[in-house]
Amino acid sequence: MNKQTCSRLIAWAAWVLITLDALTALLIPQQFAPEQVLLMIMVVLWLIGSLTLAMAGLIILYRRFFAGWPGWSLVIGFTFLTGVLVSLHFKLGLPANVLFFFQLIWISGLLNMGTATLVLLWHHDASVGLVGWTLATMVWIFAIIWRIQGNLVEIMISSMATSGESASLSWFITLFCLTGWVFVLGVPAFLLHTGKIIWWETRTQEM
Amino acid sequence: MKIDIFRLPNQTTILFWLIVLVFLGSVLLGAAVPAPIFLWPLALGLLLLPLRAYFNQPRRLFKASHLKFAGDEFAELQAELARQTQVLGLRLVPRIAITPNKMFPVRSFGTYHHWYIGISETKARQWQNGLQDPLECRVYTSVMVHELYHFKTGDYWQMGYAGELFRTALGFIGWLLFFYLGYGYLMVTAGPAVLAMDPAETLQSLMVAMPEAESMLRGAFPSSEEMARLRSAAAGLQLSFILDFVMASLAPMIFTLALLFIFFWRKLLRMREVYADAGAAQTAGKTQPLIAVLAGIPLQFLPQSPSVQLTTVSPHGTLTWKSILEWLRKLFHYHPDTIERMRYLKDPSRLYCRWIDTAILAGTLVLTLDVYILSPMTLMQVGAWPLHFPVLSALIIIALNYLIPNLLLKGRIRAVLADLVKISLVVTAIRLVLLLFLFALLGSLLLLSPKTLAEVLQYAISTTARYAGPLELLSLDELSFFVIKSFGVNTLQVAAIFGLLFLGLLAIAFFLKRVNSWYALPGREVKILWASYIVVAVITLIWATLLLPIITCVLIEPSRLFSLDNLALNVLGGLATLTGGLLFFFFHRRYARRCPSCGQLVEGSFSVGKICSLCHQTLHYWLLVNYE
Repeated sequence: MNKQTCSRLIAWAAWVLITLDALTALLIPQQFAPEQVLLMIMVVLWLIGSLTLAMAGLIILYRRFFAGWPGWSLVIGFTFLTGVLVSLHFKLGLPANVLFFFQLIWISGLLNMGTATLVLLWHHDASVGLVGWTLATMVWIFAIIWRIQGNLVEIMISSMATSGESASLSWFITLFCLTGWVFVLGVPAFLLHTGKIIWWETRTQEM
Repeated sequence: MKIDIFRLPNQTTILFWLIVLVFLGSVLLGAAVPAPIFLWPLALGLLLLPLRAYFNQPRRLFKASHLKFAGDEFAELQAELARQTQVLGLRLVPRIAITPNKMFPVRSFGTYHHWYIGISETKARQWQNGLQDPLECRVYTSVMVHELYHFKTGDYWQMGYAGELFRTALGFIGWLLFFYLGYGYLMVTAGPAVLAMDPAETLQSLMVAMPEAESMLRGAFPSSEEMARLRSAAAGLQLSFILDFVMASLAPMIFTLALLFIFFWRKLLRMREVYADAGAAQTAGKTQPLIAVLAGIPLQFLPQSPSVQLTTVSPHGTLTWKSILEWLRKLFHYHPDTIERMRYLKDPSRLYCRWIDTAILAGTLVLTLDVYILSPMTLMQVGAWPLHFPVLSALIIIALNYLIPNLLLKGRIRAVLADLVKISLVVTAIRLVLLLFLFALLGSLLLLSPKTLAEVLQYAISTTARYAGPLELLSLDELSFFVIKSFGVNTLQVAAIFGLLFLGLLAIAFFLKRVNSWYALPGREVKILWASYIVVAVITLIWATLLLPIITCVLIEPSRLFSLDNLALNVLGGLATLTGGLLFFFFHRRYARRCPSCGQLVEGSFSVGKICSLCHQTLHYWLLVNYE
């Protein structure tokens, strides 16, 4: 099997998996018997796992696009957007199955922000800038959202106390995950790229 | 015969170290005092990140400019390059990298182990075809040697590192501004609400949600008493003052970076071309091939001894408005203009003769550092050692840029004395202008609107003393006392700086003149210059550890005169004087005024071209180079 066929196969497999996951999420029964709890947990875990795998496969397959800033921003923006949809489901009046589907995508998105960051940092020696600007942007986002939403500490506490409101802090979870990924991947990426630069420098003159 | 400028202090190197030391030095100067911003990591980052970026620069350039290694079709060009590399004795043969971009200027770049010459495909073909033609061959070889000289003088790495330093510093400053503005905004927005919160109530609501984390939560939250203490401390804080402090701390850094980038960086880029031109002319033994390239005239149409009439202002002539405007215009150039390059080719000693160039260079350096010292981070250190940095930097720059070459060229101290006075005057005048401007402003405010002056001073105290609470406005008597005292002290300080600078330069000139007469020093081609550097270093050390601390203590804080740190500095200065003096005495007795050929005493001071009256040997012949 050559490289092109293999790529095509992965793309097809990923899209088929995403379609199947979407159908399962939309058709899954709303109510289930208590003895089916374990089965439902397994189904949900399977859905999250397969969706994450499919999205990660697509990001890696189309890495030429996702290795750049537009591709990375697309994944981050997409995750933030699904997070916002999840948090606004009361206002939007989304059916439970559709909400469940968006929640699945959001959770996969949170995990795949790591894949996108990994692909970006693999191809670009941008870890210092990424860590620094993410930190600074995080401070600004906190300040702006505090201005819009009010006392975030109180909202956070009340969301912990009442599970129904936890979705209103989806942006915070997304931001927290993004910062986590950037820091966790940024430091080794910086070290590895530095190692690569030193290795290049010590090699004989050729490129 | 012409002056071999490669035997004198390299101006590109001086400018490079000046850029690096001024910028990193000013950041470190800020780090020497307790500061709310972590300046040590910043300084370390500003030192190491550009270095890392510099080593990565070739790959970045290759990618950005679509450069590819020259193939077999340019084999002759690469072979000629290898031949010229051997002639110049370079340790590596640069590889030719081709880009399809026709506008790409020929560029020498690389790292320690990898050298490249980037060139457009069109120009590479032109070079390759030119090498086949017996007449044109000389022209293209000269251009090639010009590029190779960037590697020989080492300016390829200086340009690479300094460029990355600017990029990194710009990114850092942008980030700091963005981060601290956001941080301040968050504090202003969220601060009052957080302070108004009752920790006991918050804890209670959290424990309802997470009863299992009770012990952890109790430890993490402040008690009601602690919170009350925090509230009363925060009541006196004005967040706008904190923001002002951050902005006032960053502003000098931005100013320093801008000044270095606008003037010093461009001068470095211009100077490196002049050195590469001189190198190409020396290698060819003629200036014509390079003049043919610069003037765009085929070599066969140039006269054999070109007497190109370069009709612009004379460098040694009087200053006119036209010449000043022309000079100002040239300050912003990235590349020296053609006429200028031809002039340098004809007379390389022009590089060192203009006192005004050195005065402006040293004056801007002192001004830059002074502006940095006005920053809240360093103001507390006034009178302490770090603030002698500007005077010492000016002393070193004037010595390297003007004194060493001109004493070698002119010989007598009397010949450079007037210029030394002028340089010292300009350097202190630039500082005086800044001070007079500030005092004129303060004086006018005192006369016209004392209340505004009191507010301005309150603001200054709040942003510099790191006291962010409310202050009472000063009375009229206090204001008058402040303005008169600060004017008196600072004006006297300017006079003292002029005296110290001039005295330092005279001391250096005194010793350099004698070092220049060490004709019999073994390895004098290199060691005379090194001896001159040592003289500059020792006198700077004496000034830094003996003279400046004593004078500053007497003027500002006499009680510190016999403090332990001051005495330790003085002892160091005394040791430097003793060791330097003994070494100088030893070398001077052994090698001064002795002809290296016949061993007889040579009378009079040294000047370029001086010969021994007995054996007619040219003394310090290595300062001269023969090309037309």
